[in-house]
Amino acid sequence: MEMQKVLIAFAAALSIGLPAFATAWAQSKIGAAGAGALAEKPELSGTIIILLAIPETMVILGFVIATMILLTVK
Amino acid sequence: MELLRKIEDGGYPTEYLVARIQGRSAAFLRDWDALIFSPDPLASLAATGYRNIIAARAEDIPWQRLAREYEWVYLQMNSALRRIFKPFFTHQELRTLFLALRYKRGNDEKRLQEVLLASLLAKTVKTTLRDLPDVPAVLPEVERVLIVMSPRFSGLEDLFLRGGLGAVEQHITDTCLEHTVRSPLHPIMRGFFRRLIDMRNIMSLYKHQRWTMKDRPLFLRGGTIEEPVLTQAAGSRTGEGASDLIARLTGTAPEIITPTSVEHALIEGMTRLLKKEARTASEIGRILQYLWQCFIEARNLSAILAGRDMDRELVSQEILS
Repeated sequence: MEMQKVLIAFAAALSIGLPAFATAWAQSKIGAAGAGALAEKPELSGTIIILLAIPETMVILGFVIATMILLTVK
Repeated sequence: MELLRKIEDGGYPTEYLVARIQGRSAAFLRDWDALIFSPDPLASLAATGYRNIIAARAEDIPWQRLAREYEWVYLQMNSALRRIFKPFFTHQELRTLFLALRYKRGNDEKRLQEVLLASLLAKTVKTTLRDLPDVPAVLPEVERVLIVMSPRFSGLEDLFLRGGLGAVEQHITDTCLEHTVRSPLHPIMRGFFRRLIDMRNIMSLYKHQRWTMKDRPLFLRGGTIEEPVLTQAAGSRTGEGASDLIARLTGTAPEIITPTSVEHALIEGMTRLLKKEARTASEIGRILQYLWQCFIEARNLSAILAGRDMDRELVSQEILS
């Protein structure tokens, strides 16, 4: 029983941890490229913010899955 | 001692630089014919953001502008990118070095200062070029810097006394190219330098055939076209050899073989290769293609400015696409 709890917690941690890393990596790349694009074309700021926010969906979904694992898996 | 200036600053992420150069690429002139055949090409240039060039009306302004752009790119690069692109900038700065030596020989202090202004040459090299009285005094100092790369750079002063500055320039360029392809390089940079060697070898072959020289041309090693193929083509004594090799290298050969058409075919072949690299390969390919495109633009602008009083059809033939 204790082992099962450990595995559930581990699964929940993975489901938010991995997307968090992926989001961080994607945002680092998009952020750097976005800063470069903004330096040349400041009018692109709205587009860059949207592009920067898109990878955030990965970690949000990861959070939802982690919550579901913790709350529904017994 | 190194030829290039040492940059302590860490620079910016590669993605940042690539995004910036993509933004800057939008400013490249594309329709050169429309510009040349417009009622007033210089006024048209001025309208597209080249006011300074027109105001100065000097053919070397595009090259100074190119040097400033290269300096900007080099300063934006992070240390990993600088390592990869160091051979490229070293090769480019040889041109600055040669110009500075020519101005030194002609006692043209003003132009010497101008050419060193946006140069990436190390401070010690710039000081040597500025302060020492003449070319024979400068060459041993230049040799001390270059010999760190390869012992084959030795004997520059003797070479100058025997063959003049042209022989020194040829020796440094050839040695630098051969040394570069033998050193560890990023695959895209290796491809670029191998192609440069091919271009240089084909030009040598073409000149050899055109002026039916008795001496065998000296071909550089390290290109994609092997030396025996070049030697065999040099022995054929017809213009076909160079034409065939251009076709093999670039996919197309010029219809009429002239010095200009051979050079253009080779340069345009390189442009196509780099465009392909930029589309299919990593950020390195995109940066290299941008640097090359800057060179093409400087060359075209220089041709337009030099030919402002010439027949436009002739100027148009000098333009590289």
